Amino acid sequence: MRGQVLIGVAVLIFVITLLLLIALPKRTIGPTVAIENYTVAKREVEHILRNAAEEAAYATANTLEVVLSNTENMPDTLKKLYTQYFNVSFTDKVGAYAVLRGVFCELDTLDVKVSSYSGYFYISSIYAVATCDNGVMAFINSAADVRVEFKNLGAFGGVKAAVSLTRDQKQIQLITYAAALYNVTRDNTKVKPYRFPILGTFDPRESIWYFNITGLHYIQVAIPPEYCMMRNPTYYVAIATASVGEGAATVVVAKPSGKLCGT
Amino acid sequence: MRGQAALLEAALLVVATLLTFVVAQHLFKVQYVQSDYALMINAERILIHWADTGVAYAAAYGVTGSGDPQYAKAALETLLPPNVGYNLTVISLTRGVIYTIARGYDPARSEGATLILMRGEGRIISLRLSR
Repeated sequence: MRGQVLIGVAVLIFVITLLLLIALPKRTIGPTVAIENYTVAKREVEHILRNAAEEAAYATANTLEVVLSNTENMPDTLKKLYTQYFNVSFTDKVGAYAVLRGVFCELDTLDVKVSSYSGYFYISSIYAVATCDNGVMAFINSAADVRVEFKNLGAFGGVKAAVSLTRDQKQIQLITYAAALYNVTRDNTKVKPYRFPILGTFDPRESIWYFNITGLHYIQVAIPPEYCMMRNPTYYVAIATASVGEGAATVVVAKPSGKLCGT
Repeated sequence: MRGQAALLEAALLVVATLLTFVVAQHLFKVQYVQSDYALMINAERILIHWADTGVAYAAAYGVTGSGDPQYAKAALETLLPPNVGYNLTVISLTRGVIYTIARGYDPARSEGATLILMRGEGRIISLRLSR
């Protein structure tokens, strides 16, 4: 009888321990680490998309000759050029990433929109989705809002662009930008765009950094007298703007309709 | 017959007690392992936070493109208590190690995580923590 009680007590202790083991919240490390690992992997792919979006804007602005050589449907050509550079940049980056992490990613969706207004057009939104063979899925969704004004500054002409970049409805405060003037001359059948750098260079490493707490950035460009005096301008002003690691970017192409300086 | 039954009871008692210890040990083992991995989770969470807030770019690239160790040091030391040592290394995919900063770091008792950023030529941020 004494033995049975002892066994009963031992079994009871065992069962209670077993129940505690099952019923207590599992504070084991496995699932927690998996969540952190997944988040790191997701951020890495997200940032690949973001960097591709930013670098593609500079690459596009750097080779705008392609867009400006053909005056027909320039916004569409800008979109195609940007899409092409985004693909190139993304492929290059995921290749290096695959070597480092052993994870292969591909671009599932890329939707670029270009908005046109009187005298200028620009990349107004970028949406991209990437999926990887480790189950990670990442996306970027950014937009740009741009208003361009042409100003007569006396000896010089002026182009003022009010740029607002957003990612997931959040305004970007830190941007980088660069601007150049493309003069397009036509020699018989040949079209020759000539680039004249104005602000920085179309390279994320050599562009100008600009922080504004409001998220509204004024980029002001002076047009040299030899161009702003033109009554029928043959030049375009190109401005590339991108965030730093946020995935927002735009390329603005503006063309004044008349003389921008002098009386 | 009574002696055999007592023996059997005693044997069952021993088995039940041993099993209880085994199960309990497993329970404690899980908790013990977690304290080791806490450093890794902390390192990962810091890197995720940096990726979300842009600190990762400031630390790995900076305005000059060669990283900003002072900024990284200040950012890390606002998050880590003094009893936690760290070693932060920023590596360029083409130029190798750009800089390393450390404080009271013990590699033998360390855990860590890495974050890869692919802006430009790419950077690896390696953060290891130790107690």
